[in-house]
Amino acid sequence: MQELLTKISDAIYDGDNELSAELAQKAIDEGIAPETIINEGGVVGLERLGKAFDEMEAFLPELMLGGEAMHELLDVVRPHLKKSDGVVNATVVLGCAQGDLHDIGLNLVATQLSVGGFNVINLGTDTSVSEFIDTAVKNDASIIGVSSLLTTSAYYQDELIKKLVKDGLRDRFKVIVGGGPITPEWTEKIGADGYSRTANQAVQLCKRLVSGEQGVLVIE
Amino acid sequence: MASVQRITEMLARIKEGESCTTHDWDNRVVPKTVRQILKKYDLMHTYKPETPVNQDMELADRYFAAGLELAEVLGVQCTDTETIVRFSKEELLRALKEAPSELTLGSGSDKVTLSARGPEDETKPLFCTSLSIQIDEPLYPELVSQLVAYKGVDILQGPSIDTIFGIPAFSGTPFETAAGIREAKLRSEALWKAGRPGMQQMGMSSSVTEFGFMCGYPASQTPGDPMIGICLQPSELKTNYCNFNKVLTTAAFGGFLRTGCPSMIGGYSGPPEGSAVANIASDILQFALFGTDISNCSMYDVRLNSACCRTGLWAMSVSVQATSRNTHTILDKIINQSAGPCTEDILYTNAAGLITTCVSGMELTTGPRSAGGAMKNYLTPLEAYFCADAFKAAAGLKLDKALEIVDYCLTKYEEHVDDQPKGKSYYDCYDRKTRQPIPEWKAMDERVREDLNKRGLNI
Repeated sequence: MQELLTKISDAIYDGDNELSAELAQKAIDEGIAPETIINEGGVVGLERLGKAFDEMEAFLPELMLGGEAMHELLDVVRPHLKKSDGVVNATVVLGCAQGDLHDIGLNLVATQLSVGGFNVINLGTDTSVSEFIDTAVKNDASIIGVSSLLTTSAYYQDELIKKLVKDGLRDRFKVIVGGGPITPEWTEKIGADGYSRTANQAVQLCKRLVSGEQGVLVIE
Repeated sequence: MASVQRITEMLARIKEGESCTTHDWDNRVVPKTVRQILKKYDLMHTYKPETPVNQDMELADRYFAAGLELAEVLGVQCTDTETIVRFSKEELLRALKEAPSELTLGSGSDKVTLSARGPEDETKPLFCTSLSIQIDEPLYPELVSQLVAYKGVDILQGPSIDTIFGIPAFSGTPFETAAGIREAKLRSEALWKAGRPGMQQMGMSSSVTEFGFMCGYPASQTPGDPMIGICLQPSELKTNYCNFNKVLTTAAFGGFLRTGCPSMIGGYSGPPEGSAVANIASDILQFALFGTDISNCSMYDVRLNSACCRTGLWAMSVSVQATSRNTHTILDKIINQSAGPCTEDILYTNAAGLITTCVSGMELTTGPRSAGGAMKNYLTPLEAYFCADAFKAAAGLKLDKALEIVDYCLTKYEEHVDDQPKGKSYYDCYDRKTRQPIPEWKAMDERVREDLNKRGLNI
């Protein structure tokens, strides 16, 4: 079993989508528990990538491709998960606010959330309020995350929450916000559910939110 | 100076280019090609942490050759058409040859000349202030008039506003258009208040998309004295239609162009060596793609959001040395500070970054980027004055002396470069009645200047 898990970890580290999915299926067929495949295979590969990134041995493209390979792995494994498996089974819709083309931070958050076991739908840059909401409704998401590097696009974080309230959808989704000018004060002011300063912290934030924690959560 | 015809022809050429998705470009094409070029030119592992200001001019020349080949092999990807436009080596060299080596900017007593420089050049570079840090709309004339009143400041870019008459400036809407127009009026008021109406302007700051630019730019024009159009793309070796809208507007009004895209250490081009090569290629491509007057391809380390760290300083020094030794073009790189006002960190990072770029041959810089440019109203005149003085004082320094001073500056902030203090806002560290910094901030500035003077920077 360990040999197969190591191969899965390597496939994630190498950003090999096809191999990740193939090995995940093989592991399922061999009766390895889904949470073991995720935590001791995929997550280990991504943790190795994170360490390599910190030490300048891997870079943003490797992180992105590793995140995508993890996505493929989760697509195979997720149908076999039970609620009691203790693995996150929630969808997060992410994007940059309208008019904002700065997606480096957004992509890092998307990758880290994939690593954390979330199903991530990354809408990319310049995403309208309607697109966020429509996608979240269509995919039965738990969380909507809006990134903004500029205060003129951060206004759309406020707009999104106002529209959710207006459409009677506010209780259906948790809304998290982030980006350079975003502060805990702004998060509270617009009535968002959470804020984190870094991509790593966004995973903790989302896990706490889907576990039902109430109030405005801030991780700095 | 760009022409509408040339830019339109380039748009048509891009539209017909080879297809490539942005995802593939960022994650496969750029990383793979950069690695191949680094290997071919034997540049892997040439980053030396112990020399944040590169001392090896042969290495700089090798980087230029590698950057030129990377520019030729890769070209530029347009994120709107998802196509690539490529240039032959001859086209790239012709564009570099045709680029201006000197620009006369501004008018009357505020007129200045921006000339090409080289490493260790004694010619003083020019300083443009500030970056587009957001400030309160009513504060604009007060703060900006102080910024431009200083004799060391040559060009105004200025902060940005996020409201118009108190109404939020939603990006990508007519509200942003109004913000551009409003900024034009506020600029004019600030320059008049400072007694520098002829100062060269660069804009627009309040222009997240092209909306703020396309009306704000014409509204800022003074007859016979066109504004420099700032047309930037968020990441390296790419362009988009938004940027072309800004370029076309600038060309239509006969303005100078400042175009660019930043390279990210740890990003798509990889290690410091890869980012340096990609940065050189990005600079070269600005001249071929737009016929730009000033290339503005900055750098930063994505782990730290700054170029004042050891990797960033080294990569900037190699990139500027490479291009300034091998072309006569005009460059403006932003050092991307992340510390804020009323901290010693911002002063030492300013000194380290600006000594590095000046001594490597850069002609112009724009700053400061106080508090990483992310905190509203975290911008004061004092750090802008310090930037102007440090940048100019470094002219004529030898590379080895610059290295000695930069090494010293690094000892002051390197241990916590990943978490720089954000400092205080303008309201908290300036006395608005006297328009003077609070004693704590003034004393800090004097102390650091004295310290650097002792080290050999005549600031």
